Amino acid sequence: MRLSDLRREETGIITKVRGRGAFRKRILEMGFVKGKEVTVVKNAPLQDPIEYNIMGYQVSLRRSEASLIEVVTRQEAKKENPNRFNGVISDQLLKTTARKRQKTINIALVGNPNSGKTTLFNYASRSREHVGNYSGVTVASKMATYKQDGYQFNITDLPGTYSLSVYTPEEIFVRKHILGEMPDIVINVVDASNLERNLYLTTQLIDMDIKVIIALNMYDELQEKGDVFDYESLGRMIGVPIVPTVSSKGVGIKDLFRKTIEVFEDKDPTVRHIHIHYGQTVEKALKNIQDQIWKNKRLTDMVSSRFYAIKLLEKDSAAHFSLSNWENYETIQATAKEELEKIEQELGEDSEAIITDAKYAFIAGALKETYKGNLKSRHREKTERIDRYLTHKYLGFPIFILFMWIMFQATFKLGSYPMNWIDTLVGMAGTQVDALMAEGPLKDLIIDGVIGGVGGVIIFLPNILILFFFISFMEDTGYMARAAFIMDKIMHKVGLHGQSFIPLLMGFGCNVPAIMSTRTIKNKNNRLLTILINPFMSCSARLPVYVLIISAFFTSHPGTILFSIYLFGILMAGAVAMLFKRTLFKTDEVPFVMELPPYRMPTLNNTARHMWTKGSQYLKKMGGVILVASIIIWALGYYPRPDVNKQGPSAGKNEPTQQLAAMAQENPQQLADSTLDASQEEPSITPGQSDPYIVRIGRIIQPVMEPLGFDWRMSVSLVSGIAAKEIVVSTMGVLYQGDRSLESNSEKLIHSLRQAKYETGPRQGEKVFDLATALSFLVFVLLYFPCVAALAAIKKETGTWKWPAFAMIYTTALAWIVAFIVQNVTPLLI
Amino acid sequence: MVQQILTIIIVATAVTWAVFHIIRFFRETGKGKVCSCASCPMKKSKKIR
Repeated sequence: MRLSDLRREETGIITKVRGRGAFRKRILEMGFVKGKEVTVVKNAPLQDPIEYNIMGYQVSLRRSEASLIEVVTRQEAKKENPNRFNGVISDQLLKTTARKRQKTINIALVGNPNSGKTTLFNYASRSREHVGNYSGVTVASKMATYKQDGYQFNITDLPGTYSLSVYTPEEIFVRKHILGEMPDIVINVVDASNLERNLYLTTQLIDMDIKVIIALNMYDELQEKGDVFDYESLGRMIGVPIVPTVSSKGVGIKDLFRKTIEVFEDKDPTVRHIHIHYGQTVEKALKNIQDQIWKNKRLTDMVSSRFYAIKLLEKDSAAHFSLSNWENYETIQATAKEELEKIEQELGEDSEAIITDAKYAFIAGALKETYKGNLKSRHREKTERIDRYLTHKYLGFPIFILFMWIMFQATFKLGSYPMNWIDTLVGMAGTQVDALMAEGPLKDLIIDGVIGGVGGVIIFLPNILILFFFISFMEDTGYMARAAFIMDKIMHKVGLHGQSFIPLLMGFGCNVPAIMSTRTIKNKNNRLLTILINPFMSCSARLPVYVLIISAFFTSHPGTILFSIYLFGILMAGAVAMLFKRTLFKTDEVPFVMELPPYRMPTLNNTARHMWTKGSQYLKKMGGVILVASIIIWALGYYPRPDVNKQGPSAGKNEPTQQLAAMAQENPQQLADSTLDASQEEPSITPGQSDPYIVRIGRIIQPVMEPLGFDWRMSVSLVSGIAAKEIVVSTMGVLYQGDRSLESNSEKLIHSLRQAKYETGPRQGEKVFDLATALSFLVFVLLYFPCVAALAAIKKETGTWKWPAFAMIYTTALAWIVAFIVQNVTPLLI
Repeated sequence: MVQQILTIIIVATAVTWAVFHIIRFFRETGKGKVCSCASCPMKKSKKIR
């Protein structure tokens, strides 16, 4: 609780004093130090200032000043110690709670993209946040706690930024977090292999006059080069302690947090505030602007006046916006304008460039004194050597395509072995239940609903893991950024930037994080366009559908067909992007430099963690949405039960879905008459009354899907896939129930699919699946309706339901049209 | 009989679960809070705006 929130006569113990500069010094001198008891005496008539009693004397503070002091009250102590509360909170308990609070340090992790903040965050907090060797992996802040040496660290992992200007949303976000949340310590993660550029952000943190520690990350790379870096001297020079770390291996993390405690407790002698000298003209201008800002004591108690003055000279719109709430803003603005003109006239250069140059000059000077080594590392040379082939003008693209082809071949071929093992296990489970349980609805539910549905999907777990292994490999080595680089030219042709390609590639894993990762795209229209075409990237949830259909109908070249489906998705995304760019989102291209990080060897730990996270998510889905959907689909196919009196004694014993499946194979004409033709008078299952609900639903959807060659069961499966795409397979598993005597679960399903026949319409009695139908079904699954989670992500990112609704309609319409073309053109080609 | 009762309980639980999650999905995405997707990296995190 803040001191300003205490009520009259309420007492609290001080746990933290925020604020900065003269205010902080004055307040500490007055006795407002950690561990002291303070009581509210009274409020002034207008509730401000407030009179406090501390160490036996009265002192009044403005409400704004009191809000910078944190206290713990008896009420809070009661909440934190529910077991030790026996009616009255003792002073001892209050003091213990206060001591605990005093040992809580709020930390913000700040640094350049791809400097290893999230790896450090994961290692310290044992979290499993996504990391990768390319810029912009973290798109939102993540929080976690970590304990060491009796202290608790509340760590916030912030998105990577190159500076604290207001050029990108990430920069604004990080700046707002530092200024608004006022973390106790900012840990600036610096990539040791790229010191000059990384330290630029450090100079801005120095300007902010906050407590900073540098984590010199990937220090091993610097050592491998044989470079000598006297980081302790640099730390003393810039007044910021530097701790070398290798966060991927956990080296130096404990030292880093030990140093954090020292800095937090003001025990580190390195810490001092320095001013980066921007030259006489700029310094004079800064002083004049600061003189005006200082008139707002309440502001300078919290934020450095020098930081704002520098930002004003950099023509920073966010700084103007923040200051516009203060009384003398007009004078500040006028002074800044006047000084700006003076600087630009005197030095003949843009003020922003002057400040940036001065910062880089400062960094160069500091490194000259402390850093001895090759600025161009061996690591970089290795990267350049590899890039000579991987990003080669002519070779780059074929190598990329080859890599993708290998990825899908491996997903299919390697995945088939463990897939068969799981399949056998699932089949055995079905046989066991069949043998052990007595006939009845529960047995049918377990065999046809649960094992048929969930078992049908769970066998694809190995394929998903292999796919994620490759995606993780691409991300961790740095090839993902190269793929975007190679695709840049093609992306430009369709009106997008190569930068849009990373979210699209990420879509192969899951469309939800892919849609969120579009935040790194600066141009609003390009971002929206990337979001809208992202669902065409086949996410891992669609993989089971592809593998099932390909295993059943494309047995000669399964890997190539799988690759072609993914490639077709990319081509469709390109075509739609081109169309939208020319109609809906007409904008000029925005120039943007794409960073190519050095190649790094992926760690087994990270790859395994990535695969495990995805695997466990998949299994969670099995136990959640897929299990529930399978049960509901089964129930819809099982009920209502045929009237035993009307149907005879045998009708009640067989559940309708199985009966329907058997009938479809033996006598499609009879089934069609019995289920789908309501005009018939003597069907075996009375239409409308005893038809299973699923048949009734199928009957409603069927006319729309008939031109695509889909039967009612395929149509129902597609509708159920709206919740999650894996449900398409589980629904098919329930609806196309096969011969229970077959041992393997997938064999049953594949057999049923191959035997399935049309129950109505002009093709009645013909087999449902020929090559054309199987292909058009694959294409439809690829293109139609993004799942609900993806729609929610689109809503979240665009802030309106308009775009998810648009995505929903246009993707489904496009899926229908393309599937129709495939259905009708394929027979002409074969 | 026991099988029938158990089946009805299981199906009713599944339907209730589905309805509950559908309602929660619309309430939460409407407020722009948490995504219902299991893999959502936005869980318990702040959004850049």
